[in-house]
Amino acid sequence: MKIGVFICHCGLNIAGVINIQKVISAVKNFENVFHVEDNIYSCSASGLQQIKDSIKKYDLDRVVVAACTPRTHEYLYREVCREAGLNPYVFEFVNIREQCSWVHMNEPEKATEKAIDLIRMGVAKAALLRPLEVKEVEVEPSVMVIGAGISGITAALNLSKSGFKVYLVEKEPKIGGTLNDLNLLFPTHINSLELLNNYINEVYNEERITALTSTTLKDVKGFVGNFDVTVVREGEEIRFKVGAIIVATGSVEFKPNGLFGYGKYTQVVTQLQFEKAIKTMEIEKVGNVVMIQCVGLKEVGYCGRICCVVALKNAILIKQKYPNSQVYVLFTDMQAHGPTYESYYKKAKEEGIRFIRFNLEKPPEIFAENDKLMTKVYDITLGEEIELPSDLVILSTPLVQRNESSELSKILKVPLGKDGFFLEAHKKLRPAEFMTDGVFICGAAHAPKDVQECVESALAAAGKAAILLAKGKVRREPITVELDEQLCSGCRICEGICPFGALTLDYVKKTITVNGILCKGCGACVSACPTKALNQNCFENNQITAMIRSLSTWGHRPEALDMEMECEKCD
Amino acid sequence: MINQIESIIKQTKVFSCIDCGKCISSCPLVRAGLFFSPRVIMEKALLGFRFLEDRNLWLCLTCDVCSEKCPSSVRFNAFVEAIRDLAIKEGVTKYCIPCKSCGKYFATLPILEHIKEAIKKEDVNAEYLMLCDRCRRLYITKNIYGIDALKV
Repeated sequence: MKIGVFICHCGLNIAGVINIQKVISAVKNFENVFHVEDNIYSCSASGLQQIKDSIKKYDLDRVVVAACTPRTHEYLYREVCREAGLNPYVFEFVNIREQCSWVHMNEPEKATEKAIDLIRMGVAKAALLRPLEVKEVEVEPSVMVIGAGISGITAALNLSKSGFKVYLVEKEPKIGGTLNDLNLLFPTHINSLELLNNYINEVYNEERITALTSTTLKDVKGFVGNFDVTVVREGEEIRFKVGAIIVATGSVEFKPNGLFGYGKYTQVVTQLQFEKAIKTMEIEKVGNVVMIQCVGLKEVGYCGRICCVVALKNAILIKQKYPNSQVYVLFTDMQAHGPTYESYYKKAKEEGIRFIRFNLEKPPEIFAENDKLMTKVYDITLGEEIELPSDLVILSTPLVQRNESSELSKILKVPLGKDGFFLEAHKKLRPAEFMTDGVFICGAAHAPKDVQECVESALAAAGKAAILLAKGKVRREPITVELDEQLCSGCRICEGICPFGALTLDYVKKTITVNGILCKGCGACVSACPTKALNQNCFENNQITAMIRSLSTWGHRPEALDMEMECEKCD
Repeated sequence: MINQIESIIKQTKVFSCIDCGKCISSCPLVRAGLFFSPRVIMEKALLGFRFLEDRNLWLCLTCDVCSEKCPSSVRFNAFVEAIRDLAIKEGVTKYCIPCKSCGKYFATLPILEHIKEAIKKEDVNAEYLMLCDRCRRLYITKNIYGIDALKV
């Protein structure tokens, strides 16, 4: 066995604290170590070339790099190993920056000692590393979009235009979602039905889109690239296979039952109800209109984000249609974000709409006086209570998640956040994606969004899905668990522990089977397995034990001996 | 009258107040320790309350500092002056001080009270205080320099 150890200075990040020469002379004496060298920056082009040359020159068969962090640089050195003709998985990373030089900046002596120990462990593990093989799995070139609102339709159209088959699943008999109920859309005041009809015609003209209306999702099995979907349409089950799933289920308006006389007085309505009414009916006179913002803020616990602009829009529309009416908007904070909506807010003020700031601690009260509705509000600016006659009270309520979404999250095995909306993998680094590979999120199911943002996020999700489908293959990461069927007793402890659903019981063989695509290599099952039948590639039980043993035997660390004994108790 | 106030509001952009409070923090009256808020006056105008008899309306110095600071370009100075003109037209003159010499409304009662309070210990001719700025110049030339400007 020929192990090559490469120690990086990382400029002064490592070399400024750790005595590299001392480390090199110590590492040279380790078992199996054939070659040791140091680099100022081993991740630089010349540093990588030097490693590559040394591997070839000394005919090394295992590589250990002691440098920064595997999180950012591991793939780089694996690639170097591959280019030098080695298997990329015979490489071991030792972190002597974050875990040594940075945290022990004031104790260079001890830091050097620790670096030697860390490398000792890395070398012990490297000796036992096995070459692993990367496999690839075919991807079904079709996608299912759940929910045919504006987001779902946009995503479906874009994917079908990219050449993929799309199943558009909608629970209602009509596609279009919430846009069917809206009147004019801010800030351009375009008619929502006109906009929608263009999209709907496109959907029905697109031959690659199968629109399944009045359909509910029953079950989803499988993994990225190969999902088996079962849907129910008019009592009849339909099955199909898709490579990716886009969740575009949208959200619904919060119903403020019991708040501000909602449900008690007919004149108290929500913004959506008002939009429906003003769209379908001709109202002759509206008189005094009072809009109350931030309704249900305490109940739902977050800002609705779009309700302020919705209120501005409806206020402007009322004022334009009925110039003699008076509109009062009672608000706590006006969230007219961005330059577009800021000027929209200014426009509303110019139109003569009056804004009254109230305190959430002293919310407005609605009461009836001689058959007329009155609103009592404490005006912060005036510092006194005022009463406004209100012929119509419109409550601005936030968007909330649908009740059915918890069921959907169970079917798709995707998480919901604490506010009830679907939770993406990472807000900035992996938006529009779920932790579960092959499932994407867009539209108002993710967070309260207006139409423009829904379309944008739908395009993002469609783009992400298209990357997966266009590639046609999914890489099967080899750092996953492997099962020794001889040892497996089929106790199913691991099945419940696996957060990705990668382990299932084979009822015929009475053992567990591992789905290598679903497995993310977290290792939770390995520590739970009572018979040691599961083994994590690259973190195998014998490798971990060898690391600890090297520390106790050669590193003269008695505490490691205790640890080793604890570890072996498990065996 | 409501329509007139409405048009003054539009002209002076009072509707575009964003409640930032810069006007109050820059107002010299507030710095002198008086309770005065341009926002309250504007809010009353916006909500259609009657505020012409409001003492605060007549307290403003019309120094224009608030308009300079306002990020929404509300011209509060112009607003106050227009509203005061309107009030005088409406016959609300209880806070107005007419010039002793020519009869023109030149100052407001709250301000005069404040000035009198501030210069209580100084030796200032009471008659001089009750003149408008034009008549004051005539008064100075006549009584201090001995020139009768009207005759020259």
